[in-house]
Formats: sequence, structure tokens, C-alpha cells
Amino acid sequence: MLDALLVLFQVDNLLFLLCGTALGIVVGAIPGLTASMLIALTLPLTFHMDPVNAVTLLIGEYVGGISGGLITAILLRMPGTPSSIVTTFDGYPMAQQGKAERALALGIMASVVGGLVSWAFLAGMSPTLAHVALQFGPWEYFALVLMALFMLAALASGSLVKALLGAALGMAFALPGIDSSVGRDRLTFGFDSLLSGFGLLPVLIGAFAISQILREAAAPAKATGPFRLPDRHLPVHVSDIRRHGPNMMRSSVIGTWIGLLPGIGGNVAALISYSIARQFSRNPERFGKGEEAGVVAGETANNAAIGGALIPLITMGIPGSVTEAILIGALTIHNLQPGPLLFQNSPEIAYGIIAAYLVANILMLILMWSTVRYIAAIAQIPRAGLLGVILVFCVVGSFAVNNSFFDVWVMIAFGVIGLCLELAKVPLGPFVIGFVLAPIAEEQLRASMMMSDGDVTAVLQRPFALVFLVIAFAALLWPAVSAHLAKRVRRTAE
Amino acid sequence: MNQPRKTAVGDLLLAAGALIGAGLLFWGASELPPPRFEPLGSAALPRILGVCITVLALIIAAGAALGGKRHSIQEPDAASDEVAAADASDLSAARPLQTIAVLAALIVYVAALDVFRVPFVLATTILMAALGAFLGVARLRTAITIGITGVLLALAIQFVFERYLYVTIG
Repeated sequence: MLDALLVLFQVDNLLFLLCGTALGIVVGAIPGLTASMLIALTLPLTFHMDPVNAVTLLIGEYVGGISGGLITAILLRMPGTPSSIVTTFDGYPMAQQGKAERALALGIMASVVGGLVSWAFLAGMSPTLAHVALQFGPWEYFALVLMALFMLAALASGSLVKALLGAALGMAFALPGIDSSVGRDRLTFGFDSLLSGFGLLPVLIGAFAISQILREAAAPAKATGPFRLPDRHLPVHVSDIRRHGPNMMRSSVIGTWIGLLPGIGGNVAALISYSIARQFSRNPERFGKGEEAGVVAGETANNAAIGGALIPLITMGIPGSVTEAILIGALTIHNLQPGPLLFQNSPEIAYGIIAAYLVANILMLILMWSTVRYIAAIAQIPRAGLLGVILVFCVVGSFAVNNSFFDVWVMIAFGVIGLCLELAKVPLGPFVIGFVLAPIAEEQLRASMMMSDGDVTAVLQRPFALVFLVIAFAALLWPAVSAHLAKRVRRTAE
Repeated sequence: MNQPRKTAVGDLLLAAGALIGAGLLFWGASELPPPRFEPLGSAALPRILGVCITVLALIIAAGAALGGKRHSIQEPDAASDEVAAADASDLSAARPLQTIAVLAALIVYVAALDVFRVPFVLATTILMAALGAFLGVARLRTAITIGITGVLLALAIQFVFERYLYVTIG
């Protein structure tokens, strides 16, 4: 870890981390633009970079992208990212009461604490988990992928059936191309362009950036609240740490553990922490009217969720969210396989991610503290110009993958598919993660079946795989069970 | 059309699209040779996914046909509703024509670069100006700023690509 930190403090790495964090904060502060969109768009730029530089840039963007959302959430009641929705509940009322500086200061402080606590979990748990994961064979990996997909579908908002359909469709789109096991084309329907399949990057840019731009174009211009740049210093005192410390620690732990679970994300972590903070508060009636603890709980948890989500990514190669799926794509581009072997084969990358996450949080604190009033003004940029610039970057980014316009057309097609899925209320998370995980699932399943000579019951002799499968099927049953329990509780209350 | 009916029609369209996809998977899988050295072979996953997609699509279609009931097994709780309400764009006020216009502009832009070999700087400037017009830039000063941004952006991207990556776009 110390070596990774030393490498990170080399001028080029630090510069990329600084640029990534700054860019992330700016993009995160702009409503409609998200960290995952930024990372997907930056990915083509990392092709020619050193892997450590690339990873530091992307981690900086991730941390900055989630943190930046609090600025517009507090000042304009427009959450820059979905993770900051909860911050609007109390942050905006505080701003209306003339306490914008205080809300921003608490939000930034909470974000950093959340990030640092989850970093401790990330640094402490990852090497041990990776060591355990080294004992995994094909059955375990297949069961793990199944577990991730089922949990993602079960915990996605809305219909379970639609989330499962999204995952299955995502997996189906990953099938065309050359089947490397037998060296024969599959599902290409005579189109030579499909021999190498659909590229990860055009699919990601299309499904996220293009579909989001198309949605943004249709959205009416949102009325913003009275906007005033914070003009004083950001007031925060040592006593605030004592006052909000328990809330921050509790929300950090909640955020980290929720981040660990595939598919839930920072917004749910923030919401749960907010609800628990309200339950623990002596003044629950003040929540939603400008309560400081509300801002602290939400911002601590959404940042802590990043560290939690990075744990399964680097230890097992399983993405917890769409952003991690894109990060897996980034590592794959550099011929790095995320998973337990990353700690053995490329320790500079595994520990580099952990170290970059720590330093990105500190840089985020410095950058946001010093530039918050200027970043807030960016949200006022005309939407037409902003969407146009992003659209051009999408086209150029997709083209740059193989210098081919086929990839650009694929990007547009997946943009339309993404939009249609969202209109049909099919969550995009399971779709994209299904696309990313399908090759791993197929490879591991085929290897498992070869090892066991076609005997499916061989999985019963693998305790880890069995546990994963039990969790996977329990996750599928969870929505029905929780609905039943909620009904019973309501009946009892009546 | 009221909202439940709209949802039911949307679900039927989704199910139809998914069934077409499943059909393509079965068709593609039927053209693959049987496995020779392994138990599963190339056609196994397409077939498994084809079955899954068909079953899920039929469940969605049945739900839509039987009165447009929501398929959500999850009991909506107040908290997730709060997030959903804050997150979702206001569909009633959405302007679908803008989406179609932006998509059409994007397709024309890529076709101009790919098929008609229009110079990148010119195509990008026109795209930016068109987007400004579609997305309702009322002030002339803002429209000019967006146009100039387009030129500068295109020049910068072209410079980086040609100078450092030796790639010509378009």
C-alpha cells in the first residue's frame, strides 16, 4: 500500500488524479450529467495511457462525480447526480434559510468522512477477500455472477420481471461474435462487422450517455430556485465533528455495506442513512425543513457507497453498479483482469485503485472547499450547448475505439435501445451489467460443465458456490417476502 | 390515452420486442453445430437466454393484457417513492419532438461524416447550431456562443486526433 501511495504521488499520477477529481466535481454538479457518463466518455482517452494513470484519472472522476452533486442539490434543489437527491430534502431548505454556506460545508465534510471510512474498509477487507477468492473455481464464479445479476434485478427499483428481462437482454447482446471456445462465428447473421461483437465502449456510451441526452432533450427546462452564490467562508467547526460524528460514522458504515451489494447504489444508501438518522434524531420533525443531520447522513452514505462498491470489483471482478462495470471495461482495455489475481499479477493496479480512492477524497475536499462558489455557476450553462458538446464527445469517443464508424452506429443503436428500455421502465443497470458479465458467466459455466463431465449436481460439492446460489435465489424471493411482511406490519398497525 | 393504458401498451410493445429478440436467439442457435468436445457448446447460452426472455416477455404481456396491472412484486415504500418522484423526469411535461429532433440530428451528423465525408469541423458546427435551434435557444447571443463553441470544439478535437493519434475523423 505504501508503495502504491508513493507511485501515486509521482507528478503524472497526481496530475491525472487531480484532473479527474476536478472534472468529476464539475460534471457531478451539472444536473443530468453523471459520473458513469463521464467515465464512459473518458475511457477512449485512456487507451494510450499508462494503466496506473488511467486508473487514477477514472477513480478521481468517480469520487468527484458523486461528490459534486451536492452543490446544485443544495443551491438549486437540482441534484447533480441521483445520489444527491436526499441532500435536496434538507440542503435546499437550509439554503433558503440563508444557511447555504453551512449546508455546503457540512455536505463536503460528510462526503470526505464517508469516503475515508469506506476507504478503511476497502483497504482492510480487499486483500483478505481476494485471498479467499483465490480458492474459487469456475462453479463459484458462475454462481457469483448469477448472484450479482439476481441481486441487481431484485433490488432495482420497479418490476422484478422487467429487471430480469433487462439482464437477459443485456446478456443476449453480448453473444454475437466469434465464440473463442470453438473459434466459430455465432449469431452474426452473415454480417462481418459483427464478428468481433458489439464493443463494450459503444454499448456503454450508447446505453448511458446517448439515452440520457435524448431524455434530457425531452425534459422541460427545470425551474430553479432563487440562486445565490455563497459569498462567505464555509463555516465548519471542530464541535461539528463531535456533534455529527456518530451520524457520520453510522452513515459511513451503512453506505459502505450497501455499496458492497450489487445494484443498490449511492442513492439508496443515502436514503436509508437519512431514514435512520431521522429515527435516531431527537428532533425528527425538523427533517425535511433544513435539518443539518439530514444533509450529513445523505452525503456521508453516498460517498461511502463508492468504497463499498469498489470492494467486489477489485477482489472478485464483479461490478456492483454501472460505474464499476465501466471501470471493469477500463481495466480490460489495458489487458488487466479484475479479480483476486489482480493483487498477485498487477499489485500496482490493485493497490493503486485503493490508494487513488484515498487521495481522491482528500483532493475532492481541497477542490470543493476552494472552488464551490464557481462550480455552482456552471449549472447555469445553456443546456443546448452542453448537450451538443457531450454528443460530439460521444461520437468521437466511440469512433476512437477502432477508428470505425460501425462503432458509432452501434452507439446510436444502443442509445435508442436504452431510451426505449427506460420508457418501458426496464432498469438499465441490469441490462448493462448483464452485457458485461455474460462472457464471464458463459466461460465459467462451460468450464464447470467440462470439469464435471456435464454433471450439474457437481455444484452441490462446492460450498461457496452453493452459498452464492442460495443468496441468488433468496434475492429473487426477497421482493415478495418483504411485500408480505410490510402488509402484515400494516395490518397489525391498523 | 390514460397512464395505465399507456403502460399496458408499452409493456405489450416491450414483450413483442423481447419475443422477436428471443426468436433471433433461437434462429441463430439452430445454425450452430452441436457440441463436440464439451457438454454445452456454443448454442447452449443463446437457447437458455431465449427461453428466459420468452418466459419473462410472456409474463409481462399477460400482466399487460389482464388489465394493465403493475408487475411489481415489490411493495412500493414511501422512501423509494420519494426517490423515484424526485429522480424521474416529469413525463407529462416531456417534449418527445425534441428527442426525435436530437436523434435525427445525430444520425444526419454521423451519416455526413461516414457516408458523405463532410469535413469534421463543418459538420460539428452545423450540429451544434442545429441543437441550439431544436432545444429552443431564444437569445441570439447564446446561439452565437453555441455556434462558436462548436467550431472551437471541432478544431480542438481535430487537432488532437490528427496531431497525436494520426487519425482523421470523417
